[in-house]
Amino acid sequence: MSDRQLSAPAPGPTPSGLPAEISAIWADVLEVDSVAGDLSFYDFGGTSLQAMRICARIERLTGREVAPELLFDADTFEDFVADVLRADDGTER
Amino acid sequence: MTRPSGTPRLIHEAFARQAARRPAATAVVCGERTLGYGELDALAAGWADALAALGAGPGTVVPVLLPRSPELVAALLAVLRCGAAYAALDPKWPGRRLADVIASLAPPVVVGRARPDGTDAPLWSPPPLDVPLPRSGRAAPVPAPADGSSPAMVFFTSGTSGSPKGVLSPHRATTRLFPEGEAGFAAFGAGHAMVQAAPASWDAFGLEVWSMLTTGGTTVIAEGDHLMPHRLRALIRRHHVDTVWLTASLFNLFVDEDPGCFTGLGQVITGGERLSVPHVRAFLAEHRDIVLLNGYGPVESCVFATTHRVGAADCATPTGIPVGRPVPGTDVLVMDGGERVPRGTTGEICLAGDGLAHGYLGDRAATAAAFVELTVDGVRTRLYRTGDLGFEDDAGVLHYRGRKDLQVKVAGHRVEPGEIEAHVREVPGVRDCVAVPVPGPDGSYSGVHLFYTAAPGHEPPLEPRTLRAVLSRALPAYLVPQRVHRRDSLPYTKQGKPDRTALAAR
Repeated sequence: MSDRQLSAPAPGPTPSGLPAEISAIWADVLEVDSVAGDLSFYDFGGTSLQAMRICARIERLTGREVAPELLFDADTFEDFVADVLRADDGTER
Repeated sequence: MTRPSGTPRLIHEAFARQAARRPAATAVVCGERTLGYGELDALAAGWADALAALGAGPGTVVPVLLPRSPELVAALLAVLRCGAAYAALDPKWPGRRLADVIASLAPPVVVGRARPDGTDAPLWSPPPLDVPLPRSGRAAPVPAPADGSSPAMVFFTSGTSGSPKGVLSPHRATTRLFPEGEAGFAAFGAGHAMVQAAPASWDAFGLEVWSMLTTGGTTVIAEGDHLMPHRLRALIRRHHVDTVWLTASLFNLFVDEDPGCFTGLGQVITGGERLSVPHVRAFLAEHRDIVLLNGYGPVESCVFATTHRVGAADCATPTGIPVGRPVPGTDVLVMDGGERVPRGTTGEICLAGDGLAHGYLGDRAATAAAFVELTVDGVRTRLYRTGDLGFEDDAGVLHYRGRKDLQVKVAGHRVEPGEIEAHVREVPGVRDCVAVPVPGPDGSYSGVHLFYTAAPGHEPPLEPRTLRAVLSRALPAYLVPQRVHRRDSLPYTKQGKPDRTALAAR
């Protein structure tokens, strides 16, 4: 578990750092070395429990609610990150 | 066994009694919406009239395809009032599987928002809750045997043959769990509120809903498909929920990701899979005042057969956290070769009592194999053979030891590797295959990996990615293997069985 890096200071990372943070969360939860941007959560064999774990960590990192369904709906990792960023700046929800 | 007395044995009667006592009490909460007992009773009565007019009645099973919602609860009560049984189905299942299951029920009517593809039964859609119902013509519930033996619900679970098995459960299997007063395994009733987050197709849905609605408590429906830790916090804060059920793998996730999220609860019920000692220990250290219960039992004995109040001392038990003592109306017998085994000896866990299902719909052979009548201690007893292994300790507390067969639980879902294999063998381009459950870090299973060999002469050879895509269209998500590997050959044991141990080790 990567609790230490997750209990980050309150303001949270800048948007430019977010894709890297999310990529690290994916890799940790899916137990893979790295996450290729053009693969989907489904391609990684992701389960709904793993989706929930990823969303719980993103929620703690950014304070923004990300529905686990979003992981299955996004076609690629990059799309998912874009969805999270949209949620983060408040244009979605 | 303890026989609860005084509580009506029909689910809708037990509910109606609470509604008559305290019509203004809150029965269901969902977001900003609340339904009182009186309102819910009136809704269910009106909807029952509509369903009965379409043919719902004793001896029929009505598929209900609605999202988790107050409407769903009212619809299920309506079906029961008609004297029919309900089958709450997951609308997200692949269309073909859903259509096959519905066809097997030959229902008079389907309740839902849209008629599932391939189904010709009439569709009934519940009207919006704020539309007033006509006040006339509201019939009393269809009379049913007071012993609660009539069918109430059907659960579909993974079957080795390749098709899901429909477990037909009577009213009393549910009502036995929730006697009024102190006899129950947990605290339900007025003043208690429980989270509703399980899929309606699971028996745990009844634990979340009927526990409260038959005893005077409140069921609080979590919005969205997944209960997340921060959403649990919000339900505690906004709706004062005091009880939650989480399958063991979900419990572990909550403890890992947000261990404080339970604060404010009075009881946490977990189980359905082997508990992880480190997670239990972490929970107990942080939440000394919350009752933690471990529940065990297959759907054939509705929700639970035994429960155990987990304490710190249990974490030191070498065979793992015990699963406990029988719930009301249930007997546990550990058997070997048709005889009970002495305490301390491991055998097959067999269950008796009011929790037992009538059997598997339309499958006499499977029913006869799993539900047997034996003379136990001089008494003719109907038993369900669980296929689980366990032993009773000196205090009569049950301990779970594993399975006789290959069945596993993945995230609370019962998975038969044989069902996955049966589907894979039908895919053109597959020669042979083995589905191998993958143990997770916490003692439960995290998923299933599939190994296959390609059929000769099939050019180009079937790609793993293609095979997985085919399976995704045929099976519900929890049965789709997380990883698919093509091999030149598959290892077999000397007995000619697939060597799953060798494959799992790779």
